[in-house]
Amino acid sequence: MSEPKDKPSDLSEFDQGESWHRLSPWSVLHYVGSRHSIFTSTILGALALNLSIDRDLLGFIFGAGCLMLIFITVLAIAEQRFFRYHVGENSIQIRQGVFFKKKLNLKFRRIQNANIVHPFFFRPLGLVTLKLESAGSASKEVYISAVTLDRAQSIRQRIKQRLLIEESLAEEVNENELQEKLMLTRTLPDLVLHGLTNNRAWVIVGGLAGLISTTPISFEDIFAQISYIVGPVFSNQNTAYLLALFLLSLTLTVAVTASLSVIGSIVSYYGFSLFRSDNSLTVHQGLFNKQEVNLRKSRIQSVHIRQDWLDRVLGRVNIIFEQISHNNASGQTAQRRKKLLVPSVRVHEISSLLREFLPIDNPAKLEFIPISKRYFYKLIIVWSVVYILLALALASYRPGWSSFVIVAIPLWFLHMCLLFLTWKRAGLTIQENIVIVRAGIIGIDFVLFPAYKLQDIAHTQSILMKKKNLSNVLFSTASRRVSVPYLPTSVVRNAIDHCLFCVESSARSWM
Amino acid sequence: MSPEAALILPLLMLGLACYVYAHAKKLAYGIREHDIVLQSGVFWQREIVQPLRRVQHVELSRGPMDKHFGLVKVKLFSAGTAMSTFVIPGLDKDNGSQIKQYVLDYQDNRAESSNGIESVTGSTGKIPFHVATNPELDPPGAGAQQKDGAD
Repeated sequence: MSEPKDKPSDLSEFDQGESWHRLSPWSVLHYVGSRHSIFTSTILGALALNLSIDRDLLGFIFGAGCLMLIFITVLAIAEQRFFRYHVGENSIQIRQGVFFKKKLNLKFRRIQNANIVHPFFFRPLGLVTLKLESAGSASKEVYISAVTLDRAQSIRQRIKQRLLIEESLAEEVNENELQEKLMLTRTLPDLVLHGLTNNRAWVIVGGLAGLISTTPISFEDIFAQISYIVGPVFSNQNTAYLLALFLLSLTLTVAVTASLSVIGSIVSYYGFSLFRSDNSLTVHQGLFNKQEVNLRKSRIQSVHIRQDWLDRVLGRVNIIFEQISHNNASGQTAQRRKKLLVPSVRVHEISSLLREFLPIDNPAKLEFIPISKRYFYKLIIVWSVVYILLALALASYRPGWSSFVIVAIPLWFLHMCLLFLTWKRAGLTIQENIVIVRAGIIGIDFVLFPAYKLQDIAHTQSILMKKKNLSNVLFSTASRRVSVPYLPTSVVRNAIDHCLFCVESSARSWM
Repeated sequence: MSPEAALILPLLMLGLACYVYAHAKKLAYGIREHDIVLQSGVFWQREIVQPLRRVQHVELSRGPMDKHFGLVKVKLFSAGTAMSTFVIPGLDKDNGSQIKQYVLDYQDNRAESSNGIESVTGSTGKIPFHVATNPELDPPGAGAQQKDGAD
């Protein structure tokens, strides 16, 4: 096994052309690690199956797990043995594949991100994984695993330099463009806050899941069961006891999921520090797997300022720099990877972060074109119909439940209040060729992008809207689609014309 | 078949036929100097504008039905997230090729007028209008790039 010659930061080494490098044997760990999810899910699945059928099958599960592990390891060793890479003048070439040979020629200028990942299992060895993301499909990601940090950095440096040389033919280059300055760090309390607010959805989902799992199929059953068990003790406070039990289990599940989310936030963002240079942003983050994420500013497509209700209470926002996203089969993970999230940003820090990408200050101070009241009316009508239908269905299903319908009325009212806020928040403005869309319910979200980065733009209206001169507008950038409903048609027409002018008159590339 | 069904079914089919007709009637496209516009929709009317500058590749496609009627679809692909493929259906064969050619020419003209920065070695030229002279314009996603990578 020929180890790659790890002469650090010697760029000329790459130029000698024909040398193909193998990965260090340690990279087997990387390949095993990248499949751990298959392994754990098999084990979990088998375990679940087993517990429901027969407890004696534990040995079998253990055996299956071991077999799986051996299989994964053998595959990983094979993959390591078949992997070759070559760093050339303008590109990186990869040969890989066990059953299907794959040759890949990744051009430097097509590389969107070159990130250095420090997986926890490589840290004692002082090795890192270089992750190259191309601007193309997510499947064309390349991992060069188990190389020394110096080597990874020199490869990355080379990619950056190449890009700069190419760009410098078009524009003047500053000497200090490659220099990175520390811009922002996040402390542990920040991350705790982020964990509490950002995964709020999970908290709710977790709460619901807890609710469902603690609730047997029929409410009557649980009433019967619990009154049977605790009836003798709490003969009169039966319902109160039940309520207390329910609330307790709810708070418990919420607390557990919230703390899980806090832990998750700390694990992924620990030691978050953001460095800036004139044309890129770099983030260092992660507790176990330290990551160095590098983002070229020109590749940012849009900025999303996200604020959940809890964020609003705490006066924080999350700022997400978004790159090209591809909605393919692995859409979710691919999308998450292409974003750079700055967690728990204080309000006074928003402007300086935004200015990295757009010449604009905190959008909260801008004036937005509001959307028509008819949007609110429409939402009221649609949702009220849903509520009425549900109530009717419920009432006919179990006549005794008609009293439950009374409970639905405050719920309906609350929902209407939220719809009112939704309507109130929605808005659009175009400032200095920057499109800014406002949305949200309690927290306020903004999506900002320069008009010239638009890919296409659509104008939609229903027949009813046409009568009232209202239109929806749908902006598509390479990173996301944003729509604003029920704007005056004249506003939408003007916005579309203006954006098209920006796209068609500017020679600037969206990439 | 119950008498109600015998009545409702033809009515439904008639309604559907009317809708399909109205839908086809509403479909319209316009070609401007820098963009292509597509209008569609009966109850929800939609107008998409695709700037030619953002088109990554163009495709002519025809199914068996299209073939029978001598029709062709023009598809324009941009980097806007999925779904945003811009399709003009039901074009004459010649008309379709003309539109395709217009898009290609637009790209070529732009490549000539912009200062070609550096010739690209890896371009295969398999995608006819893959603009090879300006690195900025290279499609980041489908098509040409994948060809490069696979070579």
